[in-house]
Amino acid sequence: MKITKDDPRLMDYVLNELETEEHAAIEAALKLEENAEARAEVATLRQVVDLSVEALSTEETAVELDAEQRAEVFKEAAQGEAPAKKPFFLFRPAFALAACALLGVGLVLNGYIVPTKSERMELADRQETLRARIERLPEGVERFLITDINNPAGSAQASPRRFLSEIESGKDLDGIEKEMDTIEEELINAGMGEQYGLLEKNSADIPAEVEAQMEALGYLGDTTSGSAGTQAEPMASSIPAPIMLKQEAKKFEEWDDLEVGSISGQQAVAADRLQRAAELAKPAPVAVAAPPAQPLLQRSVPVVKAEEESLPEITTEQLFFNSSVGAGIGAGGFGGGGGRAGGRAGGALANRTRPDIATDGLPSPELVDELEALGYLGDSQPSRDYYFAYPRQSGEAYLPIEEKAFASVLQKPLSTFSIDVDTGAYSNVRRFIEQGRLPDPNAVRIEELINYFDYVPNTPVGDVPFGVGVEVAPCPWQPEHWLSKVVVSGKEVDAEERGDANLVFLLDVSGSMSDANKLPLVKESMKALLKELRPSDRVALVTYAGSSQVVLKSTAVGEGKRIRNAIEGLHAGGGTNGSGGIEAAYRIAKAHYVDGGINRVILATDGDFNIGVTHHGGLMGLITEHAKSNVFLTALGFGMGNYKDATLEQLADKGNGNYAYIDGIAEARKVLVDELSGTMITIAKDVKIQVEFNPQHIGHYRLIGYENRALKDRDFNDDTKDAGEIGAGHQVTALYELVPAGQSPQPGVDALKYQATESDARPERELSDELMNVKLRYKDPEGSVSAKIEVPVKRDAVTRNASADFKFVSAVAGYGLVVRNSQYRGNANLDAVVAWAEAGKQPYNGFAGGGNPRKMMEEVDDMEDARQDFIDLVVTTKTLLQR
Amino acid sequence: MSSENLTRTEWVRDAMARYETPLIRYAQRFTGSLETAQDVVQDTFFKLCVAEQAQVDGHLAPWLYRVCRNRALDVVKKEQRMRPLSDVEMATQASTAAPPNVVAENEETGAMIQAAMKALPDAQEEAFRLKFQDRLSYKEIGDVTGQTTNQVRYHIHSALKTLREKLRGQLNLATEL
Repeated sequence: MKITKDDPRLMDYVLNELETEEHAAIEAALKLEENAEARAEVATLRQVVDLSVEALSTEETAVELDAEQRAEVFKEAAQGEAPAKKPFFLFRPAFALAACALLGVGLVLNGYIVPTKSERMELADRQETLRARIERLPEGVERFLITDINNPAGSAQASPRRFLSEIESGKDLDGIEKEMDTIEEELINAGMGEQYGLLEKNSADIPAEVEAQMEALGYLGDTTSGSAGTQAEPMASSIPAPIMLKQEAKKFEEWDDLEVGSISGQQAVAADRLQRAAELAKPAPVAVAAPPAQPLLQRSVPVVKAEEESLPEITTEQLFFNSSVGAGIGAGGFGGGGGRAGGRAGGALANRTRPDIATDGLPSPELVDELEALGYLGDSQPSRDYYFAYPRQSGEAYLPIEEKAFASVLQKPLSTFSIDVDTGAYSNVRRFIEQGRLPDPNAVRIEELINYFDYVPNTPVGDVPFGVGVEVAPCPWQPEHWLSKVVVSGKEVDAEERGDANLVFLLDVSGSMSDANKLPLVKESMKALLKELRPSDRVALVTYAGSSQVVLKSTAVGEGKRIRNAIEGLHAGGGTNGSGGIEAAYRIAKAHYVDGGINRVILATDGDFNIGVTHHGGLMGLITEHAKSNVFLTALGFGMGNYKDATLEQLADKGNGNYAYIDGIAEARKVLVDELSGTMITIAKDVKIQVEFNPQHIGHYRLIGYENRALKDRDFNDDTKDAGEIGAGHQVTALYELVPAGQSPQPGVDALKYQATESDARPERELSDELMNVKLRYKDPEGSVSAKIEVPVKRDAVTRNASADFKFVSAVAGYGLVVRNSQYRGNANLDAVVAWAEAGKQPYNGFAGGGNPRKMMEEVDDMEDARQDFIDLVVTTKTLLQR
Repeated sequence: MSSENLTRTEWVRDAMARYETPLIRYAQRFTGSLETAQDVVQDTFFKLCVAEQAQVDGHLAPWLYRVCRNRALDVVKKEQRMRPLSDVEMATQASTAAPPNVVAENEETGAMIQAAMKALPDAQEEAFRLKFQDRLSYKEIGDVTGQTTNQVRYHIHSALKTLREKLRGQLNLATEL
């Protein structure tokens, strides 16, 4: 993609205002030779942005409320009502009428004034009925709801009719469209418009000459909300301030007669909406918890339940020891999605469970690409900006997960990915469940769920810093298939043998960190960690809030008192502005670099890590640059609100490090004390796995999880390509679902008509007794050249006597598939998951290799406790689904 | 994002810890006087006290800025204080009087940026400040000021272009470094 230096997207890129896919596309394009000018422009823009942020930050003075004012607010907060003397923003019917009349927006009056309980219940009923009606629409068409209201010009892809005529030929298209129209109207009336992507229409017009200018610059396209001509107000913002104020004031004067509280006309509508929505929030707690995801959750819950009911009970014995009995029952329960080989776009369209469609009601850019390629969209395709004009999900942010489909071994014999030792997704999912709601499907990264648990380690052989073990047994949720478990276990390093530690804590001390489960937890954990460190280890503290500050220069642990005092002195306060914090942290870490030691920056934050500017790309670039210095990064997420899962995970990824989510003191100890003291010792970096499958035995395969860790096959041998790190005692487990040769994957695609079938094409070679070959590449922590090891797996390794670990890991993966409502979950359901986990609860029980448990009993107990906690979590999840 | 486990007081306290100062600064750009800005912000938090927690969560920042902005405009109207631009400028300058962490070598550039910013059209300046000082997204800024995302995007792009031109000299220097 050629990018000119004047491309307005460059600014959005620098400001991190692009959607993930677009951001990645620009990032990739900027690396191209032909885009050198654009690259230079990005560098320049970053400087402008950084300088501006810096200049503005000097303006921040310590203005505060008076203590008295603050106390009054807290008093009101405690009472949960506003003081009688300050009745501002009380909405009155007359005002609401005026707003409606003035703006011509049809709004239901009931909603604004504090509704009575029966009104709220009535509204909840209406919302429920609407959801049911949407459910009955043809699959996929629901994403067109509202979009044509936002975009009345009627661009190609906003036309439901065009879409419908492709998938529903012969049906009553007029009827469906009419039904959609009424649903739309009622959605808006029921206050659900925004959930389905309704844009705020409260903006004023743009003066004609500005509009022309904007259009010339490519800002408009089909992307504006089509407000032209609907409102007569000039754009307030294009007028110098005093005039603007006068205009506002004039409006108020007119409205004073109506005893309007305070706000201007346009603003009234939106503020009203907020008010109304706030009042209406009570009847639908799920909607409140995660509004954008809610339609999906609502929809997916009954689906899961129905399938649980319709599937026969499966016992653990059947699955593991008599798997052939269960054959054939797995075919039900799949969505419309097909394999990659045929009709990919069609499958995607029909499949409601695709997160990128269901969660935001809009086709993903990839899908648009597919549609475009297939000629669905025609030439009038509006600019991509159309999509970016939509409200993005605020608050918690998760990158979409696109599950891998089954790949044909003949077409793609190699599977390559980077290892990932992150565990954050598991504790985050646990947090969702404990709060009584289902997790955002995109928060469920199955590999992190799996890697959260400890398994029986494989002993390293020779000089290799890790052991590799492979186990293949029938797949519990798809008994005709096999499941292959590849485990990489980092060697244990004796605490005595390790080099000195050089730790720099980079702590978010913004006001939001003051909760008991945030900064106080960080402090407590740090003090516990301190006890584990040696006197010659070093610790430094850098905080960031209103400004970054080096609280404690790198100090030897021998001077424990100074460190403890510094930790004690930490307190939360001020807004988040991490400018320079990360630079300072890395500078200290580099200055005290210990050869062969532990050099690590540990970031603890609860939210958006706004270093310098919000330009995500810049932040990632910064971290990537610093990671080259062999200083590793641990990213720890704390607390709830504003939690930016995607950012932290990517930071850890770019920073050669790991990421964990801390939801309580037990987790803090696990990560910061039990693991950090032992396993922050990186034993190998850029660890890549490549598996070659033998088509004589395996027809298709599917890697479970690791969606965002995929590498190109050729990257395996390319030492310049970054990959994951592994620490002492860390374990990485990857699962492949394998379809034996001669069988079709479930869900499958039809055999090709015009090409040789797979069995025809199977090479005439001497039958190999190998099932697959697992290859790993890794570098020493400070090395730059990789070494390779290979572990061939024999066909007769396939066992019916799976180990306890195998059963347990299947349970965890199965749980992830169920919670994600994955189309690949086969006959997995939560009851089956519990049964599998129970069968695999005792790690050393029935271990096929007859492993000699070298671990202390205590550690075995910990493993079992963690597994019991998982079982409890599954049971809790089940009660949520039944609710 | 959620705050189920927070009591209302904790929730308000948390919001206040984070947004009190930036909101006062923002309100002061409308009201001129610090005292009035404080009142406006106190009112904003009163409003938060009666808001539905779960509904505000996820867009706390734009919610607060919007309420604060509306309130500030209202107060300015009510008090019949049609402040000439120079007063607003003075207010801004007063607030720059005590910069807590000015890095010496950037002082000159900083002054230049602030001058350039004041020369921007008001809508651009407001969007620019909300973006770079308050770190709101385009969408959030639009929610605050009642503009579409594309309008906000346009304002910020225009402002960036202007500053880019003004800073040309500094930037070259910085590139060489």
